[in-house]
Amino acid sequence: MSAFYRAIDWNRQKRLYDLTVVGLLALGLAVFIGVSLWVSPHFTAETLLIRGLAVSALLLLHVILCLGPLARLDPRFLPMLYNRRHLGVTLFFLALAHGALSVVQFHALGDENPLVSLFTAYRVDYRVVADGRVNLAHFPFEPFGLFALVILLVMAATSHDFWLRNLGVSFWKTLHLAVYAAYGLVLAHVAFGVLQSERSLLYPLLLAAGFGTVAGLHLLAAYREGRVDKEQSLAGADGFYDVCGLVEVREGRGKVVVAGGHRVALFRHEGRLFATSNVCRHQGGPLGEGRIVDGCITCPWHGWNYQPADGCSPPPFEEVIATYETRVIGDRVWVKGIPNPMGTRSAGSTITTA
Amino acid sequence: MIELVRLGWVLLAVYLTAGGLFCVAFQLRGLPKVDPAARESGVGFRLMISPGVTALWPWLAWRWVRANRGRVQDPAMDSVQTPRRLRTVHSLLWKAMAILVPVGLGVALWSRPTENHLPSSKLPYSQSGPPPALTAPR
Repeated sequence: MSAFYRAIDWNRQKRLYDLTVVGLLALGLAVFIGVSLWVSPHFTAETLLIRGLAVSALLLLHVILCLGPLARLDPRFLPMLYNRRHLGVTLFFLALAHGALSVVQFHALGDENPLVSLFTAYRVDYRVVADGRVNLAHFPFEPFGLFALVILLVMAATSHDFWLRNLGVSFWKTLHLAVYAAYGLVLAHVAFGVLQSERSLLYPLLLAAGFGTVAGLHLLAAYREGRVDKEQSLAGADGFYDVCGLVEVREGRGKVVVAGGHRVALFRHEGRLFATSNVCRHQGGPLGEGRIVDGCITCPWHGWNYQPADGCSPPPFEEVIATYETRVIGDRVWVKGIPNPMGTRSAGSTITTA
Repeated sequence: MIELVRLGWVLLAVYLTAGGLFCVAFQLRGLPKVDPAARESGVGFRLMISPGVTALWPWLAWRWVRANRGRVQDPAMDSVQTPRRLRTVHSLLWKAMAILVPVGLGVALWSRPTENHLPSSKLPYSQSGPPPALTAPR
Protein backbone atom coordinates (compact mmCIF):
# COMPACT_ATOMS: atom_id res chain seq x y z
CA MET A 1 0.00 0.00 0.00
CA SER A 2 1.08 3.63 -0.20
CA ALA A 3 3.90 4.90 1.98
CA PHE A 4 1.48 7.52 3.33
CA TYR A 5 -2.00 8.81 2.56
CA ARG A 6 -3.21 11.94 0.84
CA ALA A 7 -6.82 13.06 0.55
CA ILE A 8 -6.63 12.71 -3.24
CA ASP A 9 -3.54 11.99 -5.31
CA TRP A 10 -4.35 14.56 -7.97
CA ASN A 11 -2.70 14.28 -11.34
CA ARG A 12 -3.45 15.67 -14.78
CA GLN A 13 -5.54 12.67 -15.84
CA LYS A 14 -7.72 12.80 -12.73
CA ARG A 15 -8.35 16.53 -13.16
CA LEU A 16 -9.27 16.01 -16.80
CA TYR A 17 -11.48 13.06 -15.90
CA ASP A 18 -13.32 14.96 -13.18
CA LEU A 19 -13.76 18.09 -15.28
CA THR A 20 -15.22 16.00 -18.10
CA VAL A 21 -17.64 14.27 -15.72
CA VAL A 22 -18.80 17.54 -14.14
CA GLY A 23 -19.17 19.15 -17.56
CA LEU A 24 -21.21 16.26 -18.96
CA LEU A 25 -23.44 16.17 -15.88
CA ALA A 26 -24.09 19.91 -16.04
CA LEU A 27 -24.86 19.64 -19.74
CA GLY A 28 -27.18 16.67 -19.15
CA LEU A 29 -29.01 18.49 -16.36
CA ALA A 30 -29.44 21.59 -18.54
CA VAL A 31 -30.76 19.54 -21.46
CA PHE A 32 -33.18 17.66 -19.19
CA ILE A 33 -34.54 20.86 -17.68
CA GLY A 34 -34.82 22.51 -21.09
CA VAL A 35 -36.66 19.59 -22.69
CA SER A 36 -38.93 19.15 -19.65
CA LEU A 37 -39.90 22.82 -19.70
CA TRP A 38 -40.62 22.58 -23.39
CA VAL A 39 -42.79 19.47 -23.01
CA SER A 40 -44.51 20.48 -19.73
CA PRO A 41 -44.23 24.23 -19.20
CA HIS A 42 -46.06 24.11 -15.85
CA PHE A 43 -43.45 22.00 -14.08
CA THR A 44 -42.22 23.87 -11.01
CA ALA A 45 -38.54 24.61 -10.51
CA GLU A 46 -38.41 22.20 -7.55
CA THR A 47 -39.89 19.35 -9.57
CA LEU A 48 -37.50 19.99 -12.44
CA LEU A 49 -34.51 20.00 -10.13
CA ILE A 50 -35.63 16.88 -8.24
CA ARG A 51 -36.25 14.98 -11.45
CA GLY A 52 -33.16 16.33 -13.19
CA LEU A 53 -30.92 15.21 -10.33
CA ALA A 54 -32.64 11.83 -10.30
CA VAL A 55 -32.16 11.31 -14.05
CA SER A 56 -28.49 12.41 -13.81
CA ALA A 57 -27.87 10.02 -10.91
CA LEU A 58 -29.63 7.15 -12.69
CA LEU A 59 -27.61 7.70 -15.88
CA LEU A 60 -24.36 7.94 -13.93
CA LEU A 61 -25.19 4.74 -12.04
CA HIS A 62 -25.68 2.93 -15.35
CA VAL A 63 -22.35 4.27 -16.66
CA ILE A 64 -20.56 3.17 -13.48
CA LEU A 65 -22.07 -0.29 -13.66
CA CYS A 66 -21.14 -0.69 -17.32
CA LEU A 67 -17.50 0.38 -16.90
CA GLY A 68 -16.39 -2.80 -15.08
CA PRO A 69 -17.56 -5.33 -17.67
CA LEU A 70 -16.66 -3.04 -20.58
CA ALA A 71 -13.07 -2.88 -19.32
CA ARG A 72 -13.04 -6.69 -19.03
CA LEU A 73 -14.37 -7.06 -22.58
CA ASP A 74 -12.32 -4.33 -24.28
CA PRO A 75 -9.07 -2.86 -22.89
CA ARG A 76 -9.82 0.48 -24.56
CA PHE A 77 -12.25 1.17 -21.71
CA LEU A 78 -9.56 0.72 -19.04
CA PRO A 79 -8.75 4.45 -18.79
CA MET A 80 -12.35 5.10 -17.77
CA LEU A 81 -12.02 2.59 -14.95
CA TYR A 82 -8.99 4.46 -13.56
CA ASN A 83 -10.99 7.04 -11.63
CA ARG A 84 -14.27 5.20 -11.14
CA ARG A 85 -14.39 5.94 -7.42
CA HIS A 86 -14.76 9.65 -8.20
CA LEU A 87 -17.81 8.73 -10.26
CA GLY A 88 -19.18 6.83 -7.27
CA VAL A 89 -18.73 9.77 -4.93
CA THR A 90 -20.32 12.11 -7.49
CA LEU A 91 -23.23 9.71 -7.79
CA PHE A 92 -23.73 9.77 -4.04
CA PHE A 93 -23.87 13.58 -3.93
CA LEU A 94 -26.34 13.68 -6.83
CA ALA A 95 -28.54 11.11 -5.09
CA LEU A 96 -28.21 12.96 -1.77
CA ALA A 97 -29.28 16.24 -3.38
CA HIS A 98 -32.26 14.50 -5.00
CA GLY A 99 -33.24 12.86 -1.72
CA ALA A 100 -32.83 15.99 0.39
CA LEU A 101 -34.86 18.13 -2.01
CA SER A 102 -37.56 15.46 -2.21
CA VAL A 103 -37.87 15.24 1.57
CA VAL A 104 -38.15 19.01 1.83
CA GLN A 105 -40.61 19.21 -1.05
CA PHE A 106 -42.89 16.31 -0.15
CA HIS A 107 -42.53 15.75 3.59
CA ALA A 108 -41.36 18.91 5.33
CA LEU A 109 -44.72 20.70 5.51
CA GLY A 110 -46.61 18.10 7.49
CA ASP A 111 -47.05 17.53 11.22
CA GLU A 112 -44.86 14.44 11.25
CA ASN A 113 -41.06 14.36 11.35
CA PRO A 114 -40.09 14.25 7.63
CA LEU A 115 -37.79 11.26 8.13
CA VAL A 116 -40.63 9.32 9.78
CA SER A 117 -43.07 10.55 7.18
CA LEU A 118 -40.90 8.94 4.48
CA PHE A 119 -42.06 5.56 5.76
CA THR A 120 -45.55 6.34 6.96
CA ALA A 121 -47.05 8.78 4.45
CA TYR A 122 -48.33 6.02 2.19
CA ARG A 123 -51.53 4.06 2.41
CA VAL A 124 -51.52 1.29 -0.14
CA ASP A 125 -54.89 0.39 -1.57
CA TYR A 126 -54.56 -3.37 -1.92
CA ARG A 127 -58.11 -3.79 -3.16
CA VAL A 128 -58.36 -5.33 -6.56
CA VAL A 129 -59.72 -2.66 -8.81
CA ALA A 130 -62.15 -3.03 -11.66
CA ASP A 131 -59.80 -4.40 -14.32
CA GLY A 132 -58.33 -7.03 -12.00
CA ARG A 133 -55.22 -5.05 -11.00
CA VAL A 134 -54.00 -4.08 -7.57
CA ASN A 135 -53.68 -0.35 -7.15
CA LEU A 136 -50.09 0.38 -6.10
CA ALA A 137 -50.30 4.12 -6.64
CA HIS A 138 -49.62 4.68 -2.95
CA PHE A 139 -46.87 2.08 -2.66
CA PRO A 140 -44.12 3.39 -0.32
CA PHE A 141 -41.42 3.73 -2.98
CA GLU A 142 -39.35 6.34 -1.17
CA PRO A 143 -37.81 3.91 1.38
CA PHE A 144 -36.30 2.01 -1.61
CA GLY A 145 -34.48 5.21 -2.56
CA LEU A 146 -33.45 5.89 1.03
CA PHE A 147 -31.92 2.42 1.45
CA ALA A 148 -30.10 2.80 -1.87
CA LEU A 149 -28.77 6.16 -0.66
CA VAL A 150 -27.46 4.56 2.54
CA ILE A 151 -25.58 1.96 0.49
CA LEU A 152 -24.13 4.67 -1.76
CA LEU A 153 -23.11 6.63 1.35
CA VAL A 154 -21.23 3.67 2.82
CA MET A 155 -19.53 3.04 -0.52
CA ALA A 156 -18.55 6.69 -0.99
CA ALA A 157 -17.34 6.95 2.62
CA THR A 158 -15.12 3.89 2.20
CA SER A 159 -13.76 4.69 -1.24
CA HIS A 160 -10.34 5.88 -0.03
CA ASP A 161 -7.36 3.50 -0.08
CA PHE A 162 -7.25 3.76 3.72
CA TRP A 163 -10.34 1.56 3.75
CA LEU A 164 -8.85 -0.96 1.37
CA ARG A 165 -6.03 -1.45 3.82
CA ASN A 166 -8.10 -1.41 6.99
CA LEU A 167 -11.05 -3.45 5.81
CA GLY A 168 -9.01 -5.81 3.64
CA VAL A 169 -9.37 -6.17 -0.11
CA SER A 170 -11.77 -9.12 0.13
CA PHE A 171 -14.15 -7.44 2.54
CA TRP A 172 -13.86 -4.07 0.78
CA LYS A 173 -14.70 -5.55 -2.58
CA THR A 174 -17.53 -7.64 -1.12
CA LEU A 175 -18.89 -4.51 0.58
CA HIS A 176 -18.76 -2.64 -2.72
CA LEU A 177 -20.70 -5.42 -4.45
CA ALA A 178 -23.61 -3.86 -2.56
CA VAL A 179 -23.82 -1.42 -5.46
CA TYR A 180 -25.93 -4.07 -7.20
CA ALA A 181 -28.37 -4.07 -4.28
CA ALA A 182 -28.44 -0.27 -4.55
CA TYR A 183 -29.14 -0.58 -8.28
CA GLY A 184 -32.04 -2.97 -7.63
CA LEU A 185 -33.45 -0.62 -5.00
CA VAL A 186 -33.14 2.36 -7.35
CA LEU A 187 -35.00 0.47 -10.07
CA ALA A 188 -37.75 -0.37 -7.58
CA HIS A 189 -37.82 3.27 -6.44
CA VAL A 190 -38.39 4.38 -10.03
CA ALA A 191 -40.77 1.60 -11.01
CA PHE A 192 -43.05 1.98 -7.98
CA GLY A 193 -42.65 5.76 -7.91
CA VAL A 194 -42.61 7.92 -10.98
CA LEU A 195 -43.60 5.11 -13.37
CA GLN A 196 -46.90 4.73 -11.52
CA SER A 197 -47.98 8.19 -12.63
CA GLU A 198 -46.11 8.81 -15.88
CA ARG A 199 -48.19 7.17 -18.59
CA SER A 200 -45.74 7.30 -21.49
CA LEU A 201 -44.37 3.92 -22.55
CA LEU A 202 -41.04 5.61 -23.25
CA TYR A 203 -39.96 5.65 -19.58
CA PRO A 204 -40.35 1.93 -18.84
CA LEU A 205 -38.73 1.15 -22.18
CA LEU A 206 -35.72 3.34 -21.37
CA LEU A 207 -35.44 1.77 -17.93
CA ALA A 208 -35.64 -1.74 -19.38
CA ALA A 209 -33.04 -0.86 -22.03
CA GLY A 210 -30.69 0.47 -19.34
CA PHE A 211 -31.07 -2.65 -17.24
CA GLY A 212 -30.73 -4.90 -20.30
CA THR A 213 -27.46 -3.20 -21.24
CA VAL A 214 -25.99 -3.46 -17.74
CA ALA A 215 -27.12 -7.04 -17.20
CA GLY A 216 -26.08 -8.15 -20.69
CA LEU A 217 -22.57 -6.72 -20.30
CA HIS A 218 -22.13 -8.31 -16.88
CA LEU A 219 -23.33 -11.71 -18.01
CA LEU A 220 -21.14 -11.58 -21.12
CA ALA A 221 -18.07 -10.60 -19.07
CA ALA A 222 -18.88 -13.33 -16.52
CA TYR A 223 -19.12 -15.90 -19.34
CA ARG A 224 -15.75 -14.82 -20.78
CA GLU A 225 -14.07 -14.85 -17.37
CA GLY A 226 -15.57 -18.24 -16.55
CA ARG A 227 -14.06 -19.65 -19.75
CA VAL A 228 -10.60 -18.41 -18.75
CA ASP A 229 -10.93 -20.04 -15.31
CA LYS A 230 -11.90 -23.33 -16.92
CA GLU A 231 -8.86 -23.37 -19.23
CA GLN A 232 -6.84 -26.51 -18.68
CA SER A 233 -3.15 -26.36 -19.44
CA LEU A 234 -1.12 -29.46 -20.21
CA ALA A 235 0.78 -30.49 -17.09
CA GLY A 236 4.31 -31.88 -17.19
CA ALA A 237 5.68 -34.41 -14.74
CA ASP A 238 7.61 -31.81 -12.70
CA GLY A 239 4.77 -29.45 -11.88
CA PHE A 240 5.23 -27.18 -14.90
CA TYR A 241 2.34 -26.41 -17.25
CA ASP A 242 2.49 -25.75 -20.97
CA VAL A 243 0.61 -22.43 -21.01
CA CYS A 244 1.15 -20.77 -24.39
CA GLY A 245 3.37 -20.20 -27.37
CA LEU A 246 6.33 -17.84 -26.96
CA VAL A 247 5.16 -15.62 -29.81
CA GLU A 248 1.99 -14.86 -27.84
CA VAL A 249 4.00 -12.91 -25.24
CA ARG A 250 5.04 -9.55 -26.65
CA GLU A 251 7.95 -7.47 -25.38
CA GLY A 252 6.84 -5.18 -22.54
CA ARG A 253 3.25 -6.49 -22.60
CA GLY A 254 1.53 -8.87 -20.22
CA LYS A 255 -0.39 -12.05 -20.95
CA VAL A 256 -2.76 -13.90 -18.64
CA VAL A 257 -2.35 -17.69 -18.57
CA VAL A 258 -3.63 -20.42 -16.26
CA ALA A 259 -1.21 -22.81 -14.55
CA GLY A 260 -2.35 -25.28 -11.93
CA GLY A 261 -5.66 -23.46 -11.56
CA HIS A 262 -3.93 -20.10 -10.87
CA ARG A 263 -4.12 -17.10 -13.14
CA VAL A 264 -0.55 -16.09 -13.87
CA ALA A 265 0.74 -12.90 -15.51
CA LEU A 266 3.52 -13.48 -18.05
CA PHE A 267 5.87 -10.69 -19.11
CA ARG A 268 8.67 -10.57 -21.65
CA HIS A 269 11.21 -7.98 -20.52
CA GLU A 270 14.74 -7.33 -21.84
CA GLY A 271 15.18 -10.79 -23.31
CA ARG A 272 13.79 -12.71 -20.34
CA LEU A 273 10.43 -14.17 -19.47
CA PHE A 274 8.92 -13.55 -16.02
CA ALA A 275 5.77 -14.84 -14.35
CA THR A 276 3.94 -13.32 -11.38
CA SER A 277 0.57 -13.59 -9.73
CA ASN A 278 -2.10 -11.97 -11.89
CA VAL A 279 -3.66 -10.28 -8.85
CA CYS A 280 -2.70 -6.71 -7.99
CA ARG A 281 -2.45 -6.13 -4.23
CA HIS A 282 -4.40 -2.89 -4.52
CA GLN A 283 -7.82 -3.89 -5.81
CA GLY A 284 -7.11 -7.27 -7.39
CA GLY A 285 -6.61 -5.81 -10.87
CA PRO A 286 -5.45 -8.15 -13.66
CA LEU A 287 -1.70 -7.50 -13.88
CA GLY A 288 -1.39 -9.69 -16.97
CA GLU A 289 -3.46 -7.14 -18.88
CA GLY A 290 -0.94 -4.45 -17.99
CA ARG A 291 2.51 -3.72 -19.33
CA ILE A 292 6.05 -2.96 -18.28
CA VAL A 293 6.66 0.74 -17.60
CA ASP A 294 10.11 1.92 -16.47
CA GLY A 295 11.10 -1.68 -15.80
CA CYS A 296 8.08 -2.39 -13.57
CA ILE A 297 4.91 -4.38 -14.14
CA THR A 298 2.14 -1.76 -14.11
CA CYS A 299 -1.42 -2.63 -13.15
CA PRO A 300 -3.88 -1.54 -15.84
CA TRP A 301 -6.44 -0.39 -13.27
CA HIS A 302 -4.61 2.15 -11.11
CA GLY A 303 -0.95 1.94 -12.13
CA TRP A 304 0.48 0.07 -9.14
CA ASN A 305 4.03 -1.17 -9.81
CA TYR A 306 5.90 -4.43 -9.17
CA GLN A 307 9.38 -5.55 -10.19
CA PRO A 308 9.07 -8.55 -12.52
CA ALA A 309 11.96 -10.51 -10.96
CA ASP A 310 10.85 -10.54 -7.31
CA GLY A 311 7.26 -9.22 -7.37
CA CYS A 312 8.15 -6.42 -4.94
CA SER A 313 6.94 -2.85 -5.39
CA PRO A 314 9.80 -0.40 -5.84
CA PRO A 315 10.78 1.47 -2.63
CA PRO A 316 9.32 3.14 -0.60
CA PHE A 317 6.31 0.94 -1.34
CA GLU A 318 6.07 -2.42 0.42
CA GLU A 319 3.60 -4.51 -1.55
CA VAL A 320 4.64 -7.94 -2.77
CA ILE A 321 3.09 -10.41 -5.18
CA ALA A 322 4.10 -14.01 -5.78
CA THR A 323 6.43 -14.98 -8.60
CA TYR A 324 6.37 -18.24 -10.56
CA GLU A 325 9.17 -20.22 -12.17
CA THR A 326 9.15 -20.29 -15.96
CA ARG A 327 10.76 -22.35 -18.69
CA VAL A 328 11.00 -21.81 -22.41
CA ILE A 329 11.23 -25.08 -24.30
CA GLY A 330 11.36 -24.66 -28.04
CA ASP A 331 8.61 -22.21 -28.92
CA ARG A 332 6.46 -23.05 -25.88
CA VAL A 333 6.25 -21.38 -22.47
CA TRP A 334 5.97 -23.52 -19.33
CA VAL A 335 5.03 -22.15 -15.90
CA LYS A 336 5.22 -23.95 -12.55
CA GLY A 337 1.77 -24.41 -11.06
CA ILE A 338 2.88 -23.56 -7.52
CA PRO A 339 3.91 -19.97 -6.70
CA ASN A 340 7.22 -19.14 -5.05
CA PRO A 341 7.09 -17.76 -1.50
CA MET A 342 6.36 -14.01 -1.52
CA GLY A 343 9.35 -11.89 -2.44
CA THR A 344 11.35 -14.80 -3.92
CA ARG A 345 13.60 -13.59 -6.69
CA SER A 346 13.22 -15.47 -9.95
CA ALA A 347 15.82 -15.07 -12.65
CA GLY A 348 13.20 -15.62 -15.34
CA SER A 349 13.85 -17.65 -18.46
CA THR A 350 16.24 -16.56 -21.16
CA ILE A 351 14.53 -16.19 -24.52
CA THR A 352 16.71 -17.36 -27.33
CA THR A 353 14.13 -17.80 -30.07
CA ALA A 354 11.02 -16.05 -31.42
CA MET B 1 -45.61 1.29 12.40
CA ILE B 2 -44.90 4.93 13.20
CA GLU B 3 -43.44 3.97 16.59
CA LEU B 4 -41.22 1.37 14.94
CA VAL B 5 -39.92 3.89 12.42
CA ARG B 6 -39.30 6.46 15.16
CA LEU B 7 -37.42 3.86 17.19
CA GLY B 8 -35.31 2.98 14.14
CA TRP B 9 -34.29 6.60 13.62
CA VAL B 10 -33.52 7.04 17.34
CA LEU B 11 -31.31 3.94 17.33
CA LEU B 12 -29.54 5.19 14.22
CA ALA B 13 -29.00 8.59 15.84
CA VAL B 14 -27.54 6.94 18.95
CA TYR B 15 -25.24 4.77 16.82
CA LEU B 16 -24.02 7.73 14.76
CA THR B 17 -23.54 9.94 17.83
CA ALA B 18 -21.36 7.23 19.36
CA GLY B 19 -19.58 7.02 15.99
CA GLY B 20 -18.99 10.78 15.95
CA LEU B 21 -17.47 10.71 19.45
CA PHE B 22 -15.37 7.71 18.51
CA CYS B 23 -14.23 9.51 15.36
CA VAL B 24 -12.81 12.41 17.39
CA ALA B 25 -10.94 10.05 19.71
CA PHE B 26 -9.76 7.92 16.81
CA GLN B 27 -8.41 10.90 14.89
CA LEU B 28 -6.56 12.16 17.99
CA ARG B 29 -5.11 8.88 19.27
CA GLY B 30 -6.06 5.75 17.38
CA LEU B 31 -5.30 6.44 13.73
CA PRO B 32 -1.48 6.18 13.84
CA LYS B 33 -1.72 3.01 15.92
CA VAL B 34 -4.20 1.28 13.67
CA ASP B 35 -2.51 2.35 10.42
CA PRO B 36 1.07 3.63 10.62
CA ALA B 37 0.83 4.87 7.02
CA ALA B 38 -1.65 7.49 8.28
CA ARG B 39 0.87 8.95 10.75
CA GLU B 40 1.95 11.82 8.51
CA SER B 41 -1.35 12.32 6.76
CA GLY B 42 -2.91 15.75 6.45
CA VAL B 43 -6.19 17.32 7.49
CA GLY B 44 -7.81 16.65 4.10
CA PHE B 45 -7.26 12.92 4.42
CA ARG B 46 -8.53 12.88 8.00
CA LEU B 47 -11.68 14.76 7.01
CA MET B 48 -12.19 12.43 4.08
CA ILE B 49 -12.19 9.29 6.19
CA SER B 50 -14.33 10.78 8.97
CA PRO B 51 -17.76 9.77 7.57
CA GLY B 52 -16.53 6.19 7.17
CA VAL B 53 -15.00 6.16 10.67
CA THR B 54 -18.33 7.40 12.06
CA ALA B 55 -20.30 4.77 10.15
CA LEU B 56 -17.97 1.80 10.68
CA TRP B 57 -16.67 2.65 14.14
CA PRO B 58 -17.13 -0.80 15.75
CA TRP B 59 -14.75 -2.35 13.21
CA LEU B 60 -12.09 0.33 13.79
CA ALA B 61 -12.58 0.14 17.56
CA TRP B 62 -11.82 -3.58 17.35
CA ARG B 63 -8.69 -2.88 15.29
CA TRP B 64 -7.63 -0.19 17.75
CA VAL B 65 -7.94 -2.62 20.66
CA ARG B 66 -5.90 -5.21 18.74
CA ALA B 67 -3.28 -2.58 17.89
CA ASN B 68 -2.95 -1.71 21.58
CA ARG B 69 -2.29 -5.39 22.26
CA GLY B 70 0.31 -5.45 19.51
CA ARG B 71 -1.78 -7.75 17.37
CA VAL B 72 -2.73 -5.48 14.52
CA GLN B 73 -2.51 -7.25 11.20
CA ASP B 74 -2.67 -6.10 7.65
CA PRO B 75 -5.94 -7.55 6.38
CA ALA B 76 -5.04 -6.42 2.87
CA MET B 77 -3.14 -9.68 2.60
CA ASP B 78 -5.57 -11.71 0.55
CA SER B 79 -5.47 -15.09 -1.04
CA VAL B 80 -4.78 -15.22 -4.76
CA GLN B 81 -8.07 -17.13 -4.95
CA THR B 82 -10.02 -14.06 -3.78
CA PRO B 83 -10.62 -12.67 -7.28
CA ARG B 84 -11.92 -16.05 -8.41
CA ARG B 85 -14.34 -16.20 -5.48
CA LEU B 86 -15.46 -12.65 -6.20
CA ARG B 87 -15.96 -13.50 -9.87
CA THR B 88 -18.18 -16.41 -8.85
CA VAL B 89 -20.23 -14.24 -6.47
CA HIS B 90 -20.46 -11.55 -9.14
CA SER B 91 -21.71 -14.00 -11.71
CA LEU B 92 -24.32 -15.46 -9.35
CA LEU B 93 -25.52 -11.97 -8.39
CA TRP B 94 -26.12 -11.01 -11.99
CA LYS B 95 -27.90 -14.25 -12.81
CA ALA B 96 -30.22 -13.51 -9.88
CA MET B 97 -30.64 -9.87 -10.96
CA ALA B 98 -31.40 -10.94 -14.53
CA ILE B 99 -34.43 -12.82 -13.19
CA LEU B 100 -35.58 -10.67 -10.27
CA VAL B 101 -35.41 -7.22 -11.85
CA PRO B 102 -37.56 -8.00 -14.91
CA VAL B 103 -40.10 -9.68 -12.63
CA GLY B 104 -40.14 -6.64 -10.33
CA LEU B 105 -40.45 -4.22 -13.23
CA GLY B 106 -43.21 -6.35 -14.71
CA VAL B 107 -45.19 -6.31 -11.45
CA ALA B 108 -44.75 -2.55 -11.14
CA LEU B 109 -45.96 -1.93 -14.67
CA TRP B 110 -48.78 -4.46 -14.52
CA SER B 111 -50.09 -2.93 -11.32
CA ARG B 112 -49.99 0.62 -12.63
CA PRO B 113 -53.36 2.12 -11.85
CA THR B 114 -55.49 3.05 -14.76
CA GLU B 115 -55.94 6.78 -14.95
CA ASN B 116 -59.39 6.52 -13.36
CA HIS B 117 -57.81 5.13 -10.21
CA LEU B 118 -54.91 7.54 -9.90
CA PRO B 119 -55.03 9.71 -6.80
CA SER B 120 -55.04 13.36 -7.78
CA SER B 121 -51.57 13.82 -6.25
CA LYS B 122 -50.19 11.30 -8.74
CA LEU B 123 -51.86 12.62 -11.86
CA PRO B 124 -49.39 14.08 -14.31
CA TYR B 125 -49.39 17.85 -14.21
CA SER B 126 -50.65 17.86 -17.76
CA GLN B 127 -53.98 16.60 -16.36
CA SER B 128 -54.09 17.97 -12.85
CA GLY B 129 -52.14 21.18 -13.27
CA PRO B 130 -49.54 22.34 -10.75
CA PRO B 131 -50.35 21.96 -7.06
CA PRO B 132 -52.04 24.98 -5.49
CA ALA B 133 -49.71 27.50 -3.96
CA LEU B 134 -49.61 27.66 -0.19
CA THR B 135 -51.46 30.72 1.01
CA ALA B 136 -50.70 30.52 4.69
CA PRO B 137 -47.91 29.07 6.79
CA ARG B 138 -48.74 25.80 8.48
